[in-house]
Amino acid sequence: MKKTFIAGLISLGPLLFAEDKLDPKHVEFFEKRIRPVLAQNCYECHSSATKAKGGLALDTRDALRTGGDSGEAIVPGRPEESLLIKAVRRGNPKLQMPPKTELSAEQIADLASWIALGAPDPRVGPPVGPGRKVFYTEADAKKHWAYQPIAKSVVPAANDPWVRTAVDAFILDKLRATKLTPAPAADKRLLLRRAHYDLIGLPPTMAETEAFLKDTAPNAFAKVIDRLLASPQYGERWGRYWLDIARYADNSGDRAGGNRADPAFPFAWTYRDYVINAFNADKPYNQFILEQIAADRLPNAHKEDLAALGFITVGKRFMNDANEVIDDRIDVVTKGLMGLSVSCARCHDHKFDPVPTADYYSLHGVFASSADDNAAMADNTDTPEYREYVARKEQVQKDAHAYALKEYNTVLADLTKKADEYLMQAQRFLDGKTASKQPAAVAREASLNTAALEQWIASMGGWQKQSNNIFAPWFEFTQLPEKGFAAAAKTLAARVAANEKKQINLAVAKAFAGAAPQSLQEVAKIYLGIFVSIEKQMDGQYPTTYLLAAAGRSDAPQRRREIVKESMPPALADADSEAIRKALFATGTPLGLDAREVGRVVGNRVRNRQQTMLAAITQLDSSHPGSPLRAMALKDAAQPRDSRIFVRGERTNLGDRVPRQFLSLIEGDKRKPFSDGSGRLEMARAIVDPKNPLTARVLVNRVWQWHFGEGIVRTPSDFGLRSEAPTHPELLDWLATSFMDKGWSIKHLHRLIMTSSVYQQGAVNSAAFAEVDPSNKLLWKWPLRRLDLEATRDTLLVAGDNLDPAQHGRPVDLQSGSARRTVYGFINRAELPGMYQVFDFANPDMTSAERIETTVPQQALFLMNSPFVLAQARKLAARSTVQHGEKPQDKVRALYEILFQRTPTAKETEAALAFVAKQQPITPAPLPTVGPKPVGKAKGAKAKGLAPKGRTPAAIATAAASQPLAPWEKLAQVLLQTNEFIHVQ
Amino acid sequence: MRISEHRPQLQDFFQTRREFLGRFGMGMGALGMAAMWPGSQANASTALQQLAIANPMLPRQPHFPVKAKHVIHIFAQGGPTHLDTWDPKPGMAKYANTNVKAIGGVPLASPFKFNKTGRSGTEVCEVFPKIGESIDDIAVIRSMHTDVPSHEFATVMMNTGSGRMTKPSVGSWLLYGLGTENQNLPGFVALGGGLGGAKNWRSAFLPGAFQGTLVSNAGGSVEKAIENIKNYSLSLAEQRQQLDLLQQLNAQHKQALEQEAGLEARIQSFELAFKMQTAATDAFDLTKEAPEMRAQYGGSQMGDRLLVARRLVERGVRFVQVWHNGWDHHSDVKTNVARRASECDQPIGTLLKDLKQRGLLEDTLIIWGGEFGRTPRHDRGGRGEPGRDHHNRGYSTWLAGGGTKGGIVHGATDEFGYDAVQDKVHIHDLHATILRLMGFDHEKLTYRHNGRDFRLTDVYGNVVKNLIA
Repeated sequence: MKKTFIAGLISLGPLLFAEDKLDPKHVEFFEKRIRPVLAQNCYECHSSATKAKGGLALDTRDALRTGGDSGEAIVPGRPEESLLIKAVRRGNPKLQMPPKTELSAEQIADLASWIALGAPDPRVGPPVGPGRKVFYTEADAKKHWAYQPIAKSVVPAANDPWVRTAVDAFILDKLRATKLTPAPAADKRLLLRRAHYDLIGLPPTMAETEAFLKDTAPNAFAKVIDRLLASPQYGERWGRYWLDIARYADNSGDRAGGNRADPAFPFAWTYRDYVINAFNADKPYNQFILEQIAADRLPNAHKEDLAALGFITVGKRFMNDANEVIDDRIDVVTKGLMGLSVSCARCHDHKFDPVPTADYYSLHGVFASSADDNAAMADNTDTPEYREYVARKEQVQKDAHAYALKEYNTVLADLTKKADEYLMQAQRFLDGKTASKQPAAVAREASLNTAALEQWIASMGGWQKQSNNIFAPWFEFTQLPEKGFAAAAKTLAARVAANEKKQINLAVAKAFAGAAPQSLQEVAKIYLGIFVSIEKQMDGQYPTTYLLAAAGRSDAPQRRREIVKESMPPALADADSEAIRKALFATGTPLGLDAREVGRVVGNRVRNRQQTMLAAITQLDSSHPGSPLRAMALKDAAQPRDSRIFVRGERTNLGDRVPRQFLSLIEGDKRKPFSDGSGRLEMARAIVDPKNPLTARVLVNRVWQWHFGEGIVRTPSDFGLRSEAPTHPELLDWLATSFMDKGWSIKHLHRLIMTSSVYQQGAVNSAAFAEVDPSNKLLWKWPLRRLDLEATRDTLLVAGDNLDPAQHGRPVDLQSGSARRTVYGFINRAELPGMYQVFDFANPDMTSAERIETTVPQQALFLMNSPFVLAQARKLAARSTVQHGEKPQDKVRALYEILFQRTPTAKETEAALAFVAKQQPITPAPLPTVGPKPVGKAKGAKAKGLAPKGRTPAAIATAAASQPLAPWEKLAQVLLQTNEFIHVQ
Repeated sequence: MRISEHRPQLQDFFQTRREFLGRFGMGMGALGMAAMWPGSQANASTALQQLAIANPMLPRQPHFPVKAKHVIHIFAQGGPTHLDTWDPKPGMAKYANTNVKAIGGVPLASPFKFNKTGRSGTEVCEVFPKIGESIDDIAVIRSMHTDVPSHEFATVMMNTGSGRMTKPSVGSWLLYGLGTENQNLPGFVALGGGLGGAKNWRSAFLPGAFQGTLVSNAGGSVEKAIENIKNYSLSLAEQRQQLDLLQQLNAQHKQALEQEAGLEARIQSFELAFKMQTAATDAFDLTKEAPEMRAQYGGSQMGDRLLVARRLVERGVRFVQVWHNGWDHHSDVKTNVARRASECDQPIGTLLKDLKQRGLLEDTLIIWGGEFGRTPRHDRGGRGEPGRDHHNRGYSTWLAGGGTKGGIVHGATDEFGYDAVQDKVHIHDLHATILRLMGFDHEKLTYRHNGRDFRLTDVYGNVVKNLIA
């Protein structure tokens, strides 16, 4: 198949042989018999003017001859080989056209004749629109700014005192060109607050503000930046930005239960902590990427660094659909690190960027050749906690195995007891004597189990063909005529019992001694007796189920094989009995149902219950103190393999196999297939290659965006042809170069940006400037920013003076009153709590470059009514400077200093005091200790059946929360709701 | 002339971003103003997207003028058997005890009678007498099909168009497209909930404001419906005083910042939240209904859910999804289908008539159906009381109101009800049709995310014109 990116907008020219002049008779045939058929039945979906489904258009000659995604539509002269004819004949269920109505036989014959004639087609001229839809030209792609090497920009000459850094020179240059001027510098108080939120996501204290105001040294602000960058809270803020890119969550998003893998990711947090630490340590960004993609393959990598691979593995699991998981991983790597939407090329060549489908499957091969591996990050095997953890884990496994074993053996014992009936029915089936030819129907009629009967039929069919010293007598009995059966059977039984030629299993021979079966049923009963006696000797240890139950689903395949070997029950001492045991009870025999078949017999009940029991292991992994720290790591497959293209993204429609290699867009002609394992490390190296035009630019742009709210490129995860052009392309390249020159240091970028005047200007509006540049692309002011979910919640905790400064560790449930920073909250991908939704948290299912910012009443409701905010308001009012303020004015002042690091204006004080004076003072009743004694308003609420009941600590806490608010508490809550509180100026 | 009839052109809003933000930020109260989705301007949809993000709930006009404004989706989860509800196959009785290869087993004839009903004469199963009374308003689709016969996949597929990926739900797309008409209530409410949980009503990459609000217990406490709607520590009067102070302080703050639009929007949102506390409580309070009305709806869990659904739609809520779980009948179709039907027949029958009587049926689209259908053959090799297995290749769903063509049967399955054979309707086609009924070209209601334009129907979907009046 041809590969072209630019089939659409430009003419393809004659693709096949140029045709001579058309025979007028052929043209007439086409116009009368072919064109109407195509127009009425095909154009609706296959037209270059409107839509071309499957990339196929049939309304011009060229389009028709180009074909679609499935290849060429017609082979002129060869109707039988033409897809179009195959489609209208509807022979292949997957290729039936038109989809809803069939063409008549006559119409089909006409089409075939026409193709046989060479498909003469007068519809000349280039296609009206795209056939295979591609919306760019190769020339555009070649010129696209983001695909050009990163330029060494020249810093514009500025000669202006405003210009503190090279960054300013670039900014001022653009402002001057549009006759705009930067806003005056922000006042120092606001600047400090801005820097604090920006770098650590928390407000400054009044003391820090005062110190900064007093510090008149020229490098006062630089010192602040250094202090904040050195704070461990920096990583908690900036790490969280990265976790948005990494679509971080603490579970897989799949539903628990049934046979599904446990959705919890007990160790995702080790990646979260790795990221926080990496930012705090200013890990060079190129190293950061290498570790996140291939820490397992890096020479000199530490065991702890394996946690970095969470970048790849903490994504959704799509109910274990491997191809979706790979797609998610390709997406996070290409979009997250390079601003390139390679996953768009999954089903067709990328419509907007030069990424062919083949490249997608080159990366697919890399990930298909890498397997998840929960690798231990540290060795704690020598601790008593670890030993207890292992013991408890083993106990869970043992219990689950024992449970399944018991259930399965019960089933098999039941089947054994009915062996005579199965024997009879299987024989009747083999002899063609049953009414139905379907084992299922036979089983139903005889009230037997279908799976078991099928197994009997299959085994007996084999024994009938191949002599078998256990069942040979049985088959002889089946040959006896019905008339005179008893007499003949008696003779036969005697012969079997005598066993003169020693060709019969001794246990069988013995069972027939003195037997005189009156019917075949009675023969079957004798066999039943043999089986039951063998079962007794086995002492309930059915070999197959024993193995099956022993090997839990959570065990690795390797381990499962070992368990199978270890737990094979002992052979029976008597050789003949052992032979029967093997024939009847081994895998693949009538009573040796394998795992699948037992499953069919008992349904999913046992398996599901066993899964539930085994889920306790994940619980131990995530909460037991002896559970070793693990990384959600990857390892290369022993046999890396290339992937085949899925044509149109359909896994059943396989195209060419493509080598594992990097993107042609980046590497061009120099591209070589990967040769080291899966190729992950080579891929990572290609991403951080300084010649890669995207990686540094994308990161620099992200850092800029996280400072200013908008990037230099305002489509931060799409640098392709449809991206927005950079507002300051030279600055972008200058920053990228400087970034790489300084060892890919992100902290260097912060310093560069924050010491610039452009960062330090005020959030001052200008109606005139807004007319020229409404979205502040040129940065003529500091853009007012609203606190995000994390900063909002963390600041509320700071206001109440109860933020828990603990760092790292297992995720906590924020809904249950934890005072940890929000970044440590458990992120439930399957069901994000309301607070996350309401405050525009990043969707953890895909890489997110920026948070959406909505304004909805639910945000206000949270600040007005949530027990969390009410509690913080109470705590704020109870802070010592507020509570012990001598005069009411002092209290107001204390509140303002805590929240806004300033003194209130006279107007504000006046308003606050007037408000407080209006409120009724309250005397809080003592809180209940035994049971809930509703207080104040809660009493009324309870009477209406609305207040929660119970004597649990939670109920008592709720009762506490429903106490009325004192006047100063009400004021404190109002201040927590203000615009000033939630915005950074 | 109403301002919404002015149909402002896009450029009215987008001379500058600041201007549109300013106008809409401050105009959240002025709900007569509605933005309109462009029918043709391709680039405009990105601009509308920004508008929708800035003011998610603001009403917007769709691509085409249509009657439908609201949707009530009655989701019969579990895979209701089409053969015992809306797709009679009287011919099947003659195959009793014969193994039919085409359906992989012995056919199970329906134990129920079907009666030609109404002017249309559509066959209605005897288990649905009350729904049957409105049959002339109903369009039965007998040729539905979907991709996979497994519950969770198919359930999420029905509600989002994708079983595996996390995509926005139908309700979220509609909220994105249309906004909502009552700022005091969530625009998208899921009553009940079920398999797959939030995946069925989540907004995925659309703004969180378009997420469905789950109300597990309709007719119960409003707190379960809307988080933080109640305050036990402060009375409304006290909150009003707080709000007055807040707005006074905010006004001073805003002045210093020269009217940033975002600030004003946030100021408004507190007023809305304040009003929402009473309005939302009222909407979910079934004691406000006459006891007779509650009884007519059945007085049952389903009845309460549908009555709440009506109260919500009446108040301008855009999309209400009502869950009716338990249609997974592997055995004893006869007893089980009759039981499920008895739970919903009276409530749905009443809902249809009640809406019609209130003039709401013409602007409310009702959808009834599950995630797939069931096999014509006996399940479980025929053990136990006759039941049916999951089946995705042919099943039934029905639509009513909101501009659907009533009294018709669309499409057909084969003689056993195994394969949809005539006028097949895939889930994507159903979604395209729902969007069309709500005024959208499903190919143009797109959302740009991470460099790609997403839509509900992905790259599929054909509008079923026959279903539209």
